[in-house]
Amino acid sequence: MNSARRSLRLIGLLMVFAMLAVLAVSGVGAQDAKILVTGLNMVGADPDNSLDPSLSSTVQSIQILDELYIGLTHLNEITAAVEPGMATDWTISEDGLVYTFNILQNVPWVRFNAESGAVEEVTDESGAVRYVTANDFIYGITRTLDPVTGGDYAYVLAPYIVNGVEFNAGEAAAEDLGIRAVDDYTLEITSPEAVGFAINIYGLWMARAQASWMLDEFGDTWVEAENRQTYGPFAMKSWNHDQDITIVKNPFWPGTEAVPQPALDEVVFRLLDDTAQFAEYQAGTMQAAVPPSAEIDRIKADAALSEQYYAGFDSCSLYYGFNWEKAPFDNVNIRKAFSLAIDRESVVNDVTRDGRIASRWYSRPGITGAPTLENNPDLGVSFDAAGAQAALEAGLADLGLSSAAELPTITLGFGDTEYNNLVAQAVQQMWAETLGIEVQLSAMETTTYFDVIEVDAPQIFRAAWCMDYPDANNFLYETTRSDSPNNYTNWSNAEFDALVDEARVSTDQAARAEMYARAEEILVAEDYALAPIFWYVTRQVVSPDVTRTFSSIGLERYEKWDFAG
Amino acid sequence: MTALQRPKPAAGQIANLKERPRGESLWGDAARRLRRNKAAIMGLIIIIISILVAIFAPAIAPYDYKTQVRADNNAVPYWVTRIFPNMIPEDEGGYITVTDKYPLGSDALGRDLFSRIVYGSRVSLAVAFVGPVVSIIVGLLVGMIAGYVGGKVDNTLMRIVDVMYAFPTFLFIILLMAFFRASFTQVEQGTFSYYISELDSATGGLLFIFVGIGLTSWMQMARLVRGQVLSVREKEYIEAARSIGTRAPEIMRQHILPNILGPIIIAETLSIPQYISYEAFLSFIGLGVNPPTPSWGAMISEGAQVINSYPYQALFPALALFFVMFAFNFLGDGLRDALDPRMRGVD
Repeated sequence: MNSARRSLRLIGLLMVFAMLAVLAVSGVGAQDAKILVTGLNMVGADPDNSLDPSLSSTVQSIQILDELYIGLTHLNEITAAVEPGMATDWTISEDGLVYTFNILQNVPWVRFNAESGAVEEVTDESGAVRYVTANDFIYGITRTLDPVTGGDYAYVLAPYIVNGVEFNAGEAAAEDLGIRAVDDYTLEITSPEAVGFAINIYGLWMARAQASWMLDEFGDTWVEAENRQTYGPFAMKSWNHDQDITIVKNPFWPGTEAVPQPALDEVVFRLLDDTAQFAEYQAGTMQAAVPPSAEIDRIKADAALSEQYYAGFDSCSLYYGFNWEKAPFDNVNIRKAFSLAIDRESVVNDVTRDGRIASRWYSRPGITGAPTLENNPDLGVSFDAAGAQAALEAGLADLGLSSAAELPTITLGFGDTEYNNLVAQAVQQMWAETLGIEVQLSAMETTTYFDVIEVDAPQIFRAAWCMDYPDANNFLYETTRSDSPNNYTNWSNAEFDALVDEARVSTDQAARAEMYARAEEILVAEDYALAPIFWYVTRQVVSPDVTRTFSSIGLERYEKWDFAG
Repeated sequence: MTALQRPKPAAGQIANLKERPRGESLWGDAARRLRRNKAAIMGLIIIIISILVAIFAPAIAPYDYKTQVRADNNAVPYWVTRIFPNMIPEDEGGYITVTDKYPLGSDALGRDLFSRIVYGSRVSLAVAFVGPVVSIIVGLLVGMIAGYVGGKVDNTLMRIVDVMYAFPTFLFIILLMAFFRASFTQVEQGTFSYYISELDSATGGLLFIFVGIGLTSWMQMARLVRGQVLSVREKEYIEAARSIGTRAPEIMRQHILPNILGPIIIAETLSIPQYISYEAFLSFIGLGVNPPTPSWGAMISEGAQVINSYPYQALFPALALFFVMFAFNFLGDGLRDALDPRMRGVD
């Protein structure tokens, strides 16, 4: 090697160093990436742990899915109105049955390449970029409805596609589904009934585009970050199971009015419970967190934290269900006694103390069709000690028992979180004080608990429902109708079923509101199938450095978040 | 140690013996040495106090352990806010409700913390006594039979112990408790498991804790007893007893047991804190007592969730647990020193 060459090398090396220095000074380096770290409380969420659009059913999974895949229609996080998502526009036939969607063009499928550290477009065998087409939506919807897939939400989608229910039951072929691609970017869905909120349902996560070639290539491992192909505003960068999920900005997402290009480069979801999240937040390692409700008093009293705290509308509704197949809850008076004995005001004012609303019925006021507190001052149930004791007397007389001591042991089951435990102990004491009945508490590991209540719920069980789309149908038809898979009470009432069936397809909103109010009356105050406890509010602390939108739908739209300044 | 070993006094020494203070028995000697151990006596006093507290809990506790005054949630007397600087009372711009109703404040459901600590001592002490009883009964039986009979019986029993020993105790006890909790809820009325779960509910969930601790704690005792039996089995006095036709059970009870009791007592006293911590740990992770039965472990667990806002809720039950565990540890140490045969006669 001669000296001339050596000095050339030296010059080259120096130039590289100089360039690196310039990069560092001008701040183009990785340090400047806008990375938001937030938390996701996955306790009990997503037992299958797949983040699969066809299988997922919990808010936590849907939060991630909503950033990775965009639906035909999109739910505005503030107004809960329907906006264009992957469909730029759509037409509905005059009879309200045929929906024709024009799909956004030039949205490529992408994946995160860990080697290059960048999001890249997915290409087919010939090297051409794969764009999202109507056929990908058909594939996604068919996969969800396929009985082999076994999706938890297939039953929500199936009734709004011709032959959907039959196909999901294994009685029709995939070709018979009322769904077809007019061309690559035009999708036509035919519904067997004209239903106002069907347009919401076509936008939900189980009706999104899925990549058939990816599933063929990777089998069950397609869900992992290194294999997963998506098309939404974010792509999946990494997924350390039970630890964290990182999503990264997808530069190929074209950005629309409803779903803009993200300002953040990355969002890290750390899978922590509320207590751990809040501790991390206070330590400054997270920019957004859900604080535990036990800390709310301190947060509100603290000058700085109270500014960062936000409590907003949340669609979730908590109830204690009664298993009708287990004595003594096969008796209406016993159920009534247990429901009336719960002092819901005391639960929200003294136990949760974070602005929750004591609920008198099941469906959350504020969503379309659900009864509102203003219009229905006398609807539903509330605490009534004398009424509860009278009902207990009547119930014992029905059963031929002389005292409550002769009742079988009664068990209240719930997923074992500190918070469920607290509410359960408060209600346990209310039952002891008002009815003189000692109820046993059975705290189960959260994932196990959900499996248990699906198959064989305890006599009394805790459950909650959060909306998937803002319509009372989502509560009353889909979770409490006699044949719903989410109806763990084993309750059925023909009048109730008829009411929610009629309200489902009615277009007259005033009439629907009346029907739902009547249905609620049957559910919580005539049959006492379940005891509503409270309606939730969201709790959040977010760093003052973050600019954001305030969501009312229980899901955040991180593509609209940014760091200030 | 026994009459057999003591040399027969010569006739001329009788007068001498009368002049000297009476000879002390092993137990008298031990008690004297224990009395001189200040730490052990301190431990003993704390244990006696906590036993009294547990027995007379209803008289000592100002409130019932499950009475909730929900409006008084997380209220404390003023002096508590002085200990923790971040607990600023409401009228000073903070978030803490100040009231003198509760000596140590109240928890998140407005239950008196002091009353719950007082009642909680029952759970800890019940475990402190039932744990050793179970482990002594089972361990003594297995260990004595293995040690005395020997041969194949010894081999079989000790291999069983080895296998049980191979499991990490904590893991084993967690598995056992999870198994009990899962298989004894939701059972058909009238079946055997139904009555077991009824009994467990009636004891506030303590039954399964007893069974869990019992099943995991006897192995050590069995090994210890077997070793002790082996060391005294061939002694002359046992041979003498055997030679005059004493039956095996009689020998074990009359001649072996009294001579190996010392180490057993020491071992058990020293493992009591372990049993208490097992219960506290199980309750802490939610596998222990059923709410609302108060247990220090469960209370610490509840308090730990709110340690930033209401630190006293974890601290006070933790202090109670700390004192009782230390008391048993000191007493155990004192007993070991007192009963050590090499220390006999040494002051």
